[in-house]
Amino acid sequence: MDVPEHAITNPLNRRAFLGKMAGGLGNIAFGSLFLNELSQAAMAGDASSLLPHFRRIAPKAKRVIFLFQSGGPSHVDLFDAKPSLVNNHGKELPPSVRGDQRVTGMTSRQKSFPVVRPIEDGKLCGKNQTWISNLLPHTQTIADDICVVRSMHTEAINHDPAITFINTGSQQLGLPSMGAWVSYGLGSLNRNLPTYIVLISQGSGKNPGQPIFSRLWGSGFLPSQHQGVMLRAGADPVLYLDNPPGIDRQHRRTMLDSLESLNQRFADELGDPETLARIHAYEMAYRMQVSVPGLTDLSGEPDQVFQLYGPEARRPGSYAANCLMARRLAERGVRFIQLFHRGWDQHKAINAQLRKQCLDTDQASAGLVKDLKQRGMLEDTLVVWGGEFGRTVYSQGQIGNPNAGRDHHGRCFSIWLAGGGIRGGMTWGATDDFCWNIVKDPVHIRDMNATILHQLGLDHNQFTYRFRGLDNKPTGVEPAHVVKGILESRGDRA
Amino acid sequence: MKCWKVLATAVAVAGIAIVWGLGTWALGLSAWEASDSLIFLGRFHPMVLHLPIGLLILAVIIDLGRLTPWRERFPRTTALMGLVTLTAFCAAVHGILLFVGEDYGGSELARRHLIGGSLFTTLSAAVFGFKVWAKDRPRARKVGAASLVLTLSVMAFASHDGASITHGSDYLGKYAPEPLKALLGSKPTQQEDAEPDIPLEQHNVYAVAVQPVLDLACIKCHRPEKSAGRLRLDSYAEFAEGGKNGPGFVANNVQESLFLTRMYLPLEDEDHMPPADHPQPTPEQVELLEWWINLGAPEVGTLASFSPDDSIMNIVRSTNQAKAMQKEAVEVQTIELDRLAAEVSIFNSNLTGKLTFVLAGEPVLHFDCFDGPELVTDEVLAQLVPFAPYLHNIDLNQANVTSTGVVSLLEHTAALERLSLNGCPIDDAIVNAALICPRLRSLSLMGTGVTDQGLARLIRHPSIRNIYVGNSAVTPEGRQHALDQISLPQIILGPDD
Repeated sequence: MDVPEHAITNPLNRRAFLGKMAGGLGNIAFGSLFLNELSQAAMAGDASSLLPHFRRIAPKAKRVIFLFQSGGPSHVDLFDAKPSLVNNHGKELPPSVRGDQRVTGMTSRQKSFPVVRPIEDGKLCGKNQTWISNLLPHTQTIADDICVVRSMHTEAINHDPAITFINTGSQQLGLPSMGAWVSYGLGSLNRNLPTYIVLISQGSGKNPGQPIFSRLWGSGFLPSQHQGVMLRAGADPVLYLDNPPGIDRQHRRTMLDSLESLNQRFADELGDPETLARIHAYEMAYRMQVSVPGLTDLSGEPDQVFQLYGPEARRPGSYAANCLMARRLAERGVRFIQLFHRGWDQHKAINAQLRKQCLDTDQASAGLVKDLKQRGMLEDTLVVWGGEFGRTVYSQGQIGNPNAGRDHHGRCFSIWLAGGGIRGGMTWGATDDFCWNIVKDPVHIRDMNATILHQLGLDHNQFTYRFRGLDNKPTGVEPAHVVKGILESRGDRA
Repeated sequence: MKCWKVLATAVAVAGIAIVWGLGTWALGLSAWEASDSLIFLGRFHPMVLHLPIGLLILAVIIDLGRLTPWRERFPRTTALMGLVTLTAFCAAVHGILLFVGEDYGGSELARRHLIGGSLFTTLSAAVFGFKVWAKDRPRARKVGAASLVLTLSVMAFASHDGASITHGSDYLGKYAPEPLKALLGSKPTQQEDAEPDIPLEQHNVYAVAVQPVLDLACIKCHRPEKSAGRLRLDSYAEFAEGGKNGPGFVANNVQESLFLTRMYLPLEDEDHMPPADHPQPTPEQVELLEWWINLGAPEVGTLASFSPDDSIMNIVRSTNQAKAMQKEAVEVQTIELDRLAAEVSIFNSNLTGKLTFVLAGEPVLHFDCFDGPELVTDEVLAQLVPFAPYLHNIDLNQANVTSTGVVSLLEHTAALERLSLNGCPIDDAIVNAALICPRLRSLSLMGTGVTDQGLARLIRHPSIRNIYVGNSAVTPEGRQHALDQISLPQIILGPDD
């Protein structure tokens, strides 16, 4: 039974009007205007009817897999090394370079800021000779499929604001996550699974890592059915899939039908969209009872697949297992799959910790790209790998000490993208000799988000949702630009 | 004060002289290598031309108003006509630069348009001159209005020609009511679909063996409305006459036939024809053209009278089929979006796969069956046939379809760019159907029964870029053999390809 996704029931009901639309009597005059926009915005998610104007871009990707590396992976060591770092190893970071970049309280009282060379050498890989660290040997093999953006930047300096920024478009809380926007804008491809699914894994370099909050995949002011659904790490991604003893599927259906009619009456009386979200959640759970066992049953996966993702793929709850799950979710038409891998916050012992973090993720990330590619799915799946910011080129703590690390650095950092119409085998943007400032083609995280939306066929300038009198855009109020230089053109390989 | 009148007249005369001077030079030009800035300036013509047209219509309305009893309400149109002349002059100059820069010299229509536009500019200047010198008397007003209407008529003919160049001569007439069709120069509808079912062999050899290949790969730039290099390829006579580099072909002589030698050049060579970013003829189609040249490049005679062998017949058949599909692809744009959306909803309510619109305001559909691939069978594919012309992306991974069902759908999918059949029980039988989808760029066949032979035929597709054949009957040797033939498509067999 299909629940109408966004029906605002009986909006002229007084209680709903005065309760939901903050403003009271004064707003009644604007009632009809307001409601038109609300219902128009509500209709935007229904992909089977005529499309709204923000869909005037031919999509290249159907879905996104965001491999989010939480904590701030060190771009200096992994993706952006250069000979000048080796030459300047041990020397003081020139104040002219450092400028007025704020540093966190952890290092602001350091007397010196010595440059630290990458902890490991690297190789020039692929036809574009992209430098990638030897800590990521499997990523080196997919150099021709990925685009490394070295000029990412963010204003945030600490984790919570930064991770909120990259996931919701603002450092301030309460806005919808990118996955929720995508779910709202494109709708679902598979009625039996949520459109936005989240998988979390713990890092072995640093455990516990920085906290992850469920608001990072929340729906903010968008209708609640667009929030991400977190699958549990471990052998049982979804609990209580089976019906209790004595209840079969038909019973459950009858029970849910009765419950739905009660909820629907409630919704009609009060006009509260949250009630409809609740009905939707029950329906989704009912369908997931059937779809999730098929999703989590890995017995059909051949050994080559586990070899591709690495031995950790057999351990439920690991990053590698989550990558394999991500591919299976992609095969089932889930629109936005987000992995969170914790533990990249290497303030201390970077030499030891970073190696372990890379071991966690390198093979599986590359394996995912290769697996998608061989199935022909990389063309319409946009894969993103990156964190909320990068790390400083200078040493946190005494240089040479095995306990030394790097502090946060938002002024430049690196991510990579693959598939979904992104041109592979290239780099974008450049930083200076100290990996401190951007010298070419800066890409703010709102630009990255605009590009992701563009590849999905969503025009970030037109894609808005009216809330509290503001036409909210997923990329925020500051201008954002699609990074056209990393997109494939018509003549390229598809 | 008379001096401004003299000045205005002098400037107008000078302008007209410039236009006719430039126009004569342009019409007489034989070979010219245009610089980028010339082409850039020329391309402003379609923009600038709107000004004189709009202003002239305004002038006509005002002048007609000055003939009515309310004539005091209407101003004199001298200055307005000056503006019309000035903007017409600019449009004419831009137009001449466009004519020269993009080599419209071979097009009769374009030459006629150039003369018409210059005539219009001249008439505007004459009317302007008349108004400058004439006194405001009833007779002068009548003459003024009449000459403006004359100018308007000349402009109408000239601009109609201009629009025909860009949109084709049939643009207005094609959907006009029957009585108007003849007036607008279109054939009445009956003639268009009166094509009795004659077997291919009984058709004229040039019409079925050669013209379709030229239509698929060449006609976009070598037709009456646009003839790059002065070459037209829309009829035998024009083809034989050739263009600025000489005759199009030499009978019985493949090496001297210019159109073939340009095709033999490497794709990266800038003289290669068709240009690298346009659809290319397949090697089979080139073979067909060589066969025809070696017959003596005949214009008359049925195909059968030249005893074509089986392989030639196959190429002729597939080319004509591809051309029919392309014609379908062009016509889909006129469909009513609302009606289509309603039909899509009805299909989706069956819950056997999902059709999705992906581009606002356009009839572009994607099909997928993530909810329940096992429910999608050959019968479902048959129900998809009415939507086939609008399908750009079909995802049938793990569906319960066979080669037969897929083939009958692919016969109608003229716009298809991406097709995914991972895990479907299909085999080489779909290859021929895939080959005639003119825009297919990506084909996923993981876990299917497609073999090395099927792959070897698939790579011939003119626009295919990616073929995925992991876990199928294709072997690494078969893949390597295919890559040795033609390096353009990526063929992905394993995770490391």
